[in-house]
Amino acid sequence: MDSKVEIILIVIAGSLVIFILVMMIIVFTLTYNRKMMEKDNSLRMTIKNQELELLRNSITVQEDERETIARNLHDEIGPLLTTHKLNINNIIFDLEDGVLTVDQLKAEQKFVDRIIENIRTASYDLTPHFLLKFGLEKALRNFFNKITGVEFVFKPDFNSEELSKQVAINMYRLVLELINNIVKHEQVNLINVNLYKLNNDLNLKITHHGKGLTQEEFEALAIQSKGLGLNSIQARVVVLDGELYFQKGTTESTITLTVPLIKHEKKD
Amino acid sequence: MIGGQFDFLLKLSVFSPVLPLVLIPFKLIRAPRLSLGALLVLLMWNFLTDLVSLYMAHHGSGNHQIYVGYCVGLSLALYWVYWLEISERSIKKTMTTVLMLFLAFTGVVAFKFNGLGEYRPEIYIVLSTLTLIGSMLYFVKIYRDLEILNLYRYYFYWLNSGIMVYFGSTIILTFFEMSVLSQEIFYHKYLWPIQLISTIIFNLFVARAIWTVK
Repeated sequence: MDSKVEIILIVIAGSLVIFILVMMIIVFTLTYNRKMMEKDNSLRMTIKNQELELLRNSITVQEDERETIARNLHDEIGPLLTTHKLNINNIIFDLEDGVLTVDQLKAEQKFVDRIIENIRTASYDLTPHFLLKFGLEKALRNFFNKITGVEFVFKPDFNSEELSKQVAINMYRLVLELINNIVKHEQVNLINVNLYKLNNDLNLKITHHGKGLTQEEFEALAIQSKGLGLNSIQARVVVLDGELYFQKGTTESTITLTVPLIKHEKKD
Repeated sequence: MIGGQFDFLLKLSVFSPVLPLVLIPFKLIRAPRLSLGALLVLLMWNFLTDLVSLYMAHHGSGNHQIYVGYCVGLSLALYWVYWLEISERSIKKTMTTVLMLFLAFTGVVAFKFNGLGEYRPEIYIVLSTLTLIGSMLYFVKIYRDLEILNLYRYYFYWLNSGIMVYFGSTIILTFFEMSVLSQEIFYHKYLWPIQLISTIIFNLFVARAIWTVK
């Protein structure tokens, strides 16, 4: 081949290669950006769906709580008050007949105590007064002490007074829900609960020797809304802007929750 | 291309790394990071070897004496730049294996067949091919991962693009280099502009990459 022609061919080939490579980069960039946009849109949709699901869950949780309170009032306090009314009528009749005894009045006094206790329990379900009065640490200790058959090692390292009401109530409810689930579904006799403040975050770490859940299992159960109060847990975690993580080890299972306190500063 | 224009393009190409080299210290002050340091080494190596080549050409001797050293230095600098960017251990292992094989190949070609001062395009062809494949695979990887939100603001996107264009275009030239070398010097001036233009494009991409670093 003539050397001049050869050179021209090389020049054309070289230029063509540069052109093709630049075109490849442009095509790659356009395809990547389109794919990224699709991913972004799908992510937005997922987040929107999750938010809707959480909203639905929080409404369901609220409705469930109302139903429980209504049931308590109707099934327990209602009949008790009706019985109390009948007893008072009997006391009046006996008083009119002159046959009323002190024992009768004492028995009725005990009955009123039972009504008061029931009202207190119902009220506690609405707002944990003990928590508001004595703080998260003591409320949790009180809760752990009430559970029989399981030993609790509770290591708190935070100041209850620093927590806002919202954080305290939601953390309390979360711990209750998580512990109730463990006690109900795991064969455990010891639960470690660490609650500590680190770098403006409130950290909860619950460890036990039960089967536990992995993060994937927890998310799958929460999506399926398979009881366990998982919807309520998720809704509260969202309210706290927290991050909840389930981990399953060979000998130990862990649940960790981190709540950024900076987002929930206490208002005096 | 006439002589004056060619010389201008040659000087423009040799001094084109000056733009990214000037930018790097400013960025290093604002955002000190090792990847910029690696890039600085790559650019300095290219710039210095080009200057030495230019000097040798002016004094009538070929630049073959530094050719093997240039290729080895370039491969090491490129390896470092990609090493810092890639986080996957398996890819890093593959990169190291490929580098070792390349160095072994260079050693065999340089010492057994030719000697250090001898010009053999095989070394550069292999280096360019490996780098071109590497840069293409990097794009495949980021396409698969889909983690970079904005490509235009990602410095390695620009750098990888520059590397891809540069080594892609130089492969074809190096392939034909032996036949070109056998031609008269007059014809060289028709061919080398492609190499010079791709060098300028590469340095513009690198400058854009450095500019993106925040």
